[in-house]
Amino acid sequence: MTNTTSINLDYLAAKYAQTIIQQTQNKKASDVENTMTKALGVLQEDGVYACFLYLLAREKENGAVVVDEMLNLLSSLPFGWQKPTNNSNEILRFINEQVTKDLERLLLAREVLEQMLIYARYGAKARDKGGSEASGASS
Amino acid sequence: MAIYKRRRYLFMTLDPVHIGTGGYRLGRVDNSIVREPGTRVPKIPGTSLHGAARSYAAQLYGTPEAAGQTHDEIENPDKNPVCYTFGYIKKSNNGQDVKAYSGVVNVFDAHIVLFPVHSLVGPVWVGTVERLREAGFEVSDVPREWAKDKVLLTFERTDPLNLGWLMLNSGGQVTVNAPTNCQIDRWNAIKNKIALVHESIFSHIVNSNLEVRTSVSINPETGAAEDKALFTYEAIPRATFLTAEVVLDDYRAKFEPVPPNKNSLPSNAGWQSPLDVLDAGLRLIEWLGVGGMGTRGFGRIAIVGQPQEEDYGQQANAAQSPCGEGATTP
Repeated sequence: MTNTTSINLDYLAAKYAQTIIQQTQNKKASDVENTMTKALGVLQEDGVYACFLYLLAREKENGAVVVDEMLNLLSSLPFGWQKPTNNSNEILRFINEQVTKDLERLLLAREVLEQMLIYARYGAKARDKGGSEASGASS
Repeated sequence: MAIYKRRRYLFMTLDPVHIGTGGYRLGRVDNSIVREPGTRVPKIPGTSLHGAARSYAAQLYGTPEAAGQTHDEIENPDKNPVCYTFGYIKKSNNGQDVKAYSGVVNVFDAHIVLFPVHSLVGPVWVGTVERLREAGFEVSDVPREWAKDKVLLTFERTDPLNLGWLMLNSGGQVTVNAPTNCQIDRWNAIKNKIALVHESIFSHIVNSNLEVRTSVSINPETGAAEDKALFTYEAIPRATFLTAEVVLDDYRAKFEPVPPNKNSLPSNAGWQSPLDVLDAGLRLIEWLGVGGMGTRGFGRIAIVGQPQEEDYGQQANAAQSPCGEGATTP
């Protein structure tokens, strides 16, 4: 069922990004940032399904937190998507059969997930108060 | 009386091109590139092209001091073709006297027309009907209506086609012809590998297939990576086709033609108008590049064929005769 009330997508992205940062308080900020950067890369170049697959297969505790919040974000969208159980197969089936089914919804989902991961990436950077700025360095 | 002329260039990137936002954007990468606000499609700003063209034209003419922010060292800037073309600010008498003229060429942003993407049939160049037509291409056999999840192809295929991670159904075959004077080898190599999508999908495909690199600072003593010195950046990939317009607004009408061999100009190149000065500068971008990371394999852009030119109030016509191999009339 589709909810027609207006939804602030930026608010949702920020909300779940903050939750990721809170849930990973006890982890090294640079590791959290690293997970975000890699997830963003896979999302952008290989798509939504690949991003979930990557996080489930390659990332450890941080990955599980990110997957959970990504699913929360998707189920907050007005498309009637029900969050699957915490089982890898169920999650991947949910992405494949519901999220990637409709092109416009898929593209919107991808965009909001990307925004959330960007906020989480910079959230992790902000938490890493002792760290120095990476941008602007040269190789 | 002012003379208005407009030229439309077709460019192809020879390397990844990084025109950075200077850290004013949050993004997937640390150093993101400039995008069109409405579509989020990356572009090359006119300011970047203008600056590079001015600098290279100044070098070509043998007066590098004609580039840069001030032009105090140019003795007679009105007689310098680079200063005349791009404008100048000359201060004298300890900054008491300031003489300034605006340039007589306007260089506009370069927009992506065809973007290379990997697919199961090899690389294809993705564009939209609107972008191609805007750039002077002829696109025929386009269905009146076609679904968003379909792609129009310049080659025969009925099965779905993936454009990067996105799989789209085939919506039929179309014909795309480049402007006559752009039909050279670079165009001929891709003309049968074009996929047209809806404008709303285009941005997603482009942004999903940008070149992204990771670099790290190396400690010269240990030869190992410096801690916290890793950074990522994105770029418009190699073999992207872009189009940009330039307009001649010669409100001064005092340009003095420059014969070949004058100063350090090549023997086959004289400058008859400010547009020739600009053209010479733009063509050097094929050697010297534009944007960031120029010394690390980034930035070169080639002009494809010759620009289309029109006078104000007249229909578009070819700036010069058709060039290169395989030139045909569409």
